[in-house]
This record gives sequence, C-alpha cells and structure tokens, in this order.
Amino acid sequence: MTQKMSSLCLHVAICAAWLPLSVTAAGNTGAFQPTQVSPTPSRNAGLSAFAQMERVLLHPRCVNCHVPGSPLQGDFKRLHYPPVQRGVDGRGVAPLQCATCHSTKNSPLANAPPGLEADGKPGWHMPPAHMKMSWIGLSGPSLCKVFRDPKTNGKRSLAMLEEHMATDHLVFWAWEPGPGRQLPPMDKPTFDEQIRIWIRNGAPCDSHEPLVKSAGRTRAEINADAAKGLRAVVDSGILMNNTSNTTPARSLP
Amino acid sequence: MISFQLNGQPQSVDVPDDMPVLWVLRDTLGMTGTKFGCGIAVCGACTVHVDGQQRRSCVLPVSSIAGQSISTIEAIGEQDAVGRAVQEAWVRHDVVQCGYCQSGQIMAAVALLKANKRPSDADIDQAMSANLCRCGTYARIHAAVLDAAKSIA
Repeated sequence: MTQKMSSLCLHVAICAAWLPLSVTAAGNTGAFQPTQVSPTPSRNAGLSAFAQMERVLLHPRCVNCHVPGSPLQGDFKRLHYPPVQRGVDGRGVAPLQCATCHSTKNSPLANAPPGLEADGKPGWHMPPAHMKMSWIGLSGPSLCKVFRDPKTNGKRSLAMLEEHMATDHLVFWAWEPGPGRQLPPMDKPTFDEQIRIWIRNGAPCDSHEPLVKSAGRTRAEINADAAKGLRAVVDSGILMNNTSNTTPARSLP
Repeated sequence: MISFQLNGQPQSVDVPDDMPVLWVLRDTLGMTGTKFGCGIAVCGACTVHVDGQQRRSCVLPVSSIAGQSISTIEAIGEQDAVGRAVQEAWVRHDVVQCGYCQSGQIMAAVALLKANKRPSDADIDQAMSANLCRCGTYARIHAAVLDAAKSIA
C-alpha cells in the first residue's frame, strides 16, 4: 500500500469511528426534535409568525452582527469601537480579534464588551466572510427569503434553522446580554414558538409562492448519513483492494 | 491546578478556574508589569498575548488558557525580536509619560507588527485605537510603531 493510500484509509477509518460517537453524543445531550410541516398548513398563520420573528431578527441584539461589513454595537446600531473587521472566519482580524476583548462571559458592569463561552474559550463571533447572512436593509418577504434560503442562511434546512435558533449559545445570549442592553421584544420561549408556527405552516415568506413541504434534515441526521457512508466504504474494503493495482514505488537510485 | 506556558517556561497555579489571568499574574505570581486599568476589557492596559494573540487579561479566566502559551511585558523584549524592536523604538521616541498604559501599548504594538510587518498609518490608528492613554501619548506611540516597523523590515 502506498503511503498516500495508507493515510487515506487511516483518515476514513478515523472519521468513520468518530462520526457515530458525535451523533450519539448529540442524541444523548440534545433532545431537539424538529417541527414537521403540517399537512394542512395555514399561510396566514405562518406569515403572522414570521412577522413576530422579524421583530427579533432585526433587533440590535441580532442584527448588529448580521451585517454586510464590520459589526455594529449597542442599542442604536452604532459602528463598533474599536474599528474591528469581520475576518475570514467571522472572528476578527489580528491584531484585533473578537476574543481580544470579548471573553467567556458578560461583565456585571455596563458598557463592558459582552462575553460568551465556547468549549471553555472565548466564543464571540459573527457570520464568516463566505456566508455573511446580512439582514441590514431587509424586511418582510426579502428578509424571510434570505433567512430561509440555504444559500444565504449558512446551508441550513428549516430543521437546522430551528435547531440553531432553539439551541445555539450565541442566539441564547441575545436574551442574556448583560447589564445596559435592551432585550429582544419577546421572550425566548415565545420566539421559539413563533419559529415552530412558521415552519409548521410551510415557512411562507409572501402571499403567493408555494409553501415548503418538508423541514428537511437535521444536522444529526446528516452526520449519521455521513457516518453510514464512511462505514460502508471502510467495510467494503475498496480502499484496500484498490491498492493492489497501484504501481509499487520505485526505489531511489 | 491549571498549567500553561508563561514566557516560555512551564507554569502551574492552584487558583479558582474563574480567576482572571491578570490576578494570577499580579497577585499569585508577583508579575506586576501587566497593569489593571478599567477591569472591563476596554482600556487595554492589561494586554497579554495568548498563543501570540493579544487578549485582555482582566476579563480572561485562567481556566481558558490551560495548555496555552502566555507572553507578558516582562519577557516580550527579551524573547522576541519584534518585541525588542518595539521597546527600542519606544525608548528612541521617548514615548512614555506616566507609563501606566505602556505595557499594554507595547503588547498591542507587538501584536500589530507580528500580524502586519508594514502597517500603514491607518493600520496603526486602527490597531492601536483599542488601547487608551490618558496622557495622550498617541502621536509618539504612532511614530514609534512606524519606526519599529522600519527596523524589522
């Protein structure tokens, strides 16, 4: 077996071994069950729910980072000070990264940079450069379609959108922003319920387009499928068999 | 017990997980070069480097730096060529007035020059704007950063 093929086999085997673990962990810890689209959806109920969601999505707690360029800050959507940049991964550009000032938790004092923990490290960030998810200047149907379309929402199905809104720690932060910051215009359980109503009723964005028929797959389901595919590749032995046709490496002169 | 590298040496401290790194440096380890300014990550006086990136140590829990490499003002001029160039430029330009913010200013300048060896005036203004100086030494800081950049070019 060539060194390259050996490395590939090892990599696939490691992935196949790791993925089911991650799926199991997600299944054990997260009881998230996606909302299914109703067989008898109500467009009006869905549109009303999105109108409520929009009040949250365009609130400074959300939209300050859902911008086309550098982040905003505060309750009045002012330019962020100091003048930081998004960066490729949405975590800033050295020497001024989000984690330079945003640590692992909110300060008890007003006017301090808020904080957020991710795996024990500072976790503050905005959407990455390749998927800015900008909502500035949008409203109603235009906001709804950008929010719903996987091409502009981070490649999320409706099920993944719901999971993101229901469980993501940065979304949760909007309702625990620390002292001196306005809260979104409804509480978190009410917001979550509006998302469920919107999806249950076909996730409508306007009065005429066809309603969505399925909420799509969750992240856990996609991971499970990927693990199954990798296991099938490893179990088939195709990687091992292919190596029999490879030309042995020549010895060096 | 929380372990990390401090200025190139292994270091372990037996402190609460949520103790800010600044407290660990100053009170536990007696390294008082890094300063307490605002205490809310706004002024930059407490700036240290964590794995080469600048961080405000006054709000950074020590548990979050476990296993990482921390650099402070005590060693940045001895162990680091960019740090040495910045400190020499600081002396040439007589930057310091009261001096309280200057540990953080120097750590920020080093972080800038490591990320951008030839910063423009705008780059310097942007990067250094996150460090406040109540004496108003900004013009001299700016000149010293430019000078340090030339010396490492």
